[in-house]
Amino acid sequence: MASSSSNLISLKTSDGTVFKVERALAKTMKTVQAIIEEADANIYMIPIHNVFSHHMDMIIDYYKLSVAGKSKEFSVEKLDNDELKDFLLAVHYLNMEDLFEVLTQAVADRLEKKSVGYVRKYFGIENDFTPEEYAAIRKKNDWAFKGDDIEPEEDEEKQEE
Amino acid sequence: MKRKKYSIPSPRVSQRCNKVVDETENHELCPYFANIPSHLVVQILLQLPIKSLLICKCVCKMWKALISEPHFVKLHFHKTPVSLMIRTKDHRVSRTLHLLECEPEKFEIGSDNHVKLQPIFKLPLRDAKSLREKMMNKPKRPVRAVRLVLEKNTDKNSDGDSQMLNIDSKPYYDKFGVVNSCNGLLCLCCPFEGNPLVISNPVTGEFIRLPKSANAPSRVRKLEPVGFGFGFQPKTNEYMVIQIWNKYVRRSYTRVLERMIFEINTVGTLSWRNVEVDPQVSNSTLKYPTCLNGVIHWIRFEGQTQNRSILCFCLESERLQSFPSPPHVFRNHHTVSRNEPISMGESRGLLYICDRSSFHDVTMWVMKEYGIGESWTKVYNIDTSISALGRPDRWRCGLCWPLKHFEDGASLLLYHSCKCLIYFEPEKYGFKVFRIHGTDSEQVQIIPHTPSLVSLKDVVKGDNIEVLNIYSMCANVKLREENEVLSLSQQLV
Repeated sequence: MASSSSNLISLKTSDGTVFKVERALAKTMKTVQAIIEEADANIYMIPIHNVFSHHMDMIIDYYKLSVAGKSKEFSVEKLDNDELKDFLLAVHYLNMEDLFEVLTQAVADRLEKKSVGYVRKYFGIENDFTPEEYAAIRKKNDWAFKGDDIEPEEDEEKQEE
Repeated sequence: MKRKKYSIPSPRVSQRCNKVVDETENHELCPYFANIPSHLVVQILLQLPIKSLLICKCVCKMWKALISEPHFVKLHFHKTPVSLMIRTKDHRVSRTLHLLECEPEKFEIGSDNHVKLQPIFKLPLRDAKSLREKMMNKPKRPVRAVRLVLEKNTDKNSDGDSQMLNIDSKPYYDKFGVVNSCNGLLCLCCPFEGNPLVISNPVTGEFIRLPKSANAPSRVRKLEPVGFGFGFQPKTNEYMVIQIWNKYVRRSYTRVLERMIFEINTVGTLSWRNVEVDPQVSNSTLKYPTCLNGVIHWIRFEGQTQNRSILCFCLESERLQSFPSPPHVFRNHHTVSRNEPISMGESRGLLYICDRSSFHDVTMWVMKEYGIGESWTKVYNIDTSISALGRPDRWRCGLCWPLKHFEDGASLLLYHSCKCLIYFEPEKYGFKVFRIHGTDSEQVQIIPHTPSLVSLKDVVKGDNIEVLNIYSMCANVKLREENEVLSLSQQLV
């Protein structure tokens, strides 16, 4: 029956697992919160698409750490890029501000000081500049490419058409 | 599910950790983040420092457009850490600015490490040619100041058009002073008179020359500077420059004030506009222009009485009026010398005043609520007679800048006699002394300036004023002092 007075909300992930989470945690997920508020009757269980159980595990970890004031200890270093992307999309879907910023920062950290070629490969983007356009924009921002902490460009000589 | 662009607000800057990603990943890359919606890309890009952002600009046309968009630039600017530009202060032209981003990691280096002050930006050179020719007034005489030496570039790009020009430039002609920094742009001026000449963004290399005013000083028209300022009006999204002069006339061996000239130029327009204000200000000197909330503030030093107060000019209403100042600070008359030991500035939306009038102490006041005189709060009182810091020197010591605000644990930076910076963080470390290495110059000038990607082309809005770029014009010009690399290292005391 309806669990209106209880402090736990049931969330069902894409792979069918049901998590019972505290109302306070559900409140940080704006998407879930909106579903709860829009419902006429009390909802028994909320399905969350695009979110898998391993994502929920990490979300609960983060929540526990942030409640204890240790949100800086939360780390996604062990996630590879694929996993990080999926997690980011899941958190984006759930519209969780703080965790979203942590994850975008984590992606930014992985991109920081990397070469143009690396960033292109990472996002699967093709270079659509003509060689002249690329040379012009490189020259204009030349100082950003200098410095011994920046990865050198590998494929500068061979421009893609 | 539709989402508004930038719907997730970006809180203030959080601690960035410079982790090094395992390099082996590089060789096995496949597109991990393909097909990410562009508003997610924007959120990621907003977290990158400026240098990486400029690298990302070269990735593809869409990213270039995303990063150049004025709204993005504005959001990113709000996340950039408080920074300082450091430049050598001596007899040279010193057009090189070294950036010090005041992030906590910079100050947590151990005592053996040096942190390079990077990146380095260049200011344009003042146009020397016309001034020089006028002063020479004898076209047949060889121009003494410029000696162009063509040097073959011995690097790998040694084709014909990459030759470095060593210009022997003289600061008298080529150096710029700085009026103030506002919203990511620097206003440069003549180092002698102080009148604004150029607006530049050192990060993008762009600059524009301000139009000449009909009332500008010349050989015939001698004017005395009162004050100058550069500000931003958020309501109209315009930048404005102000110059205030006194015009005197000779009356039987003395000079009498004829009138005060108060002019404004909206950056991007071709002329200066006269504004009528209370001429009472003419007996003062206005220093430390600081723009906040569309209002330019100065510390006013009155000529005869040595009174000090804060004056402000609202860019919207175009009214000059006084502004509440911290109690007791301006009533000190310990000094009547010209080295005014008070400075003012703005950091993250708060006005601050640094008072060094007392021999030992450096006091910092912050106005917690804008416009409310009672909200001036004394936040620090630092006794600089601690022997570790060396002899307290009233004239050199004590310029300070607040770095972080009070939620995260405040800290500030003090400049102490010749190239020493003192980092003061009361919660954790107390005092830490840092020294600037790498230059022969005895002193450095510190300019609080937060870098931004704002493009002058968006500021100028139209074709009236040409936007120049030092990277295209002076790409081959190298001044002799530009081989210097400044670095910061901690000194054990």
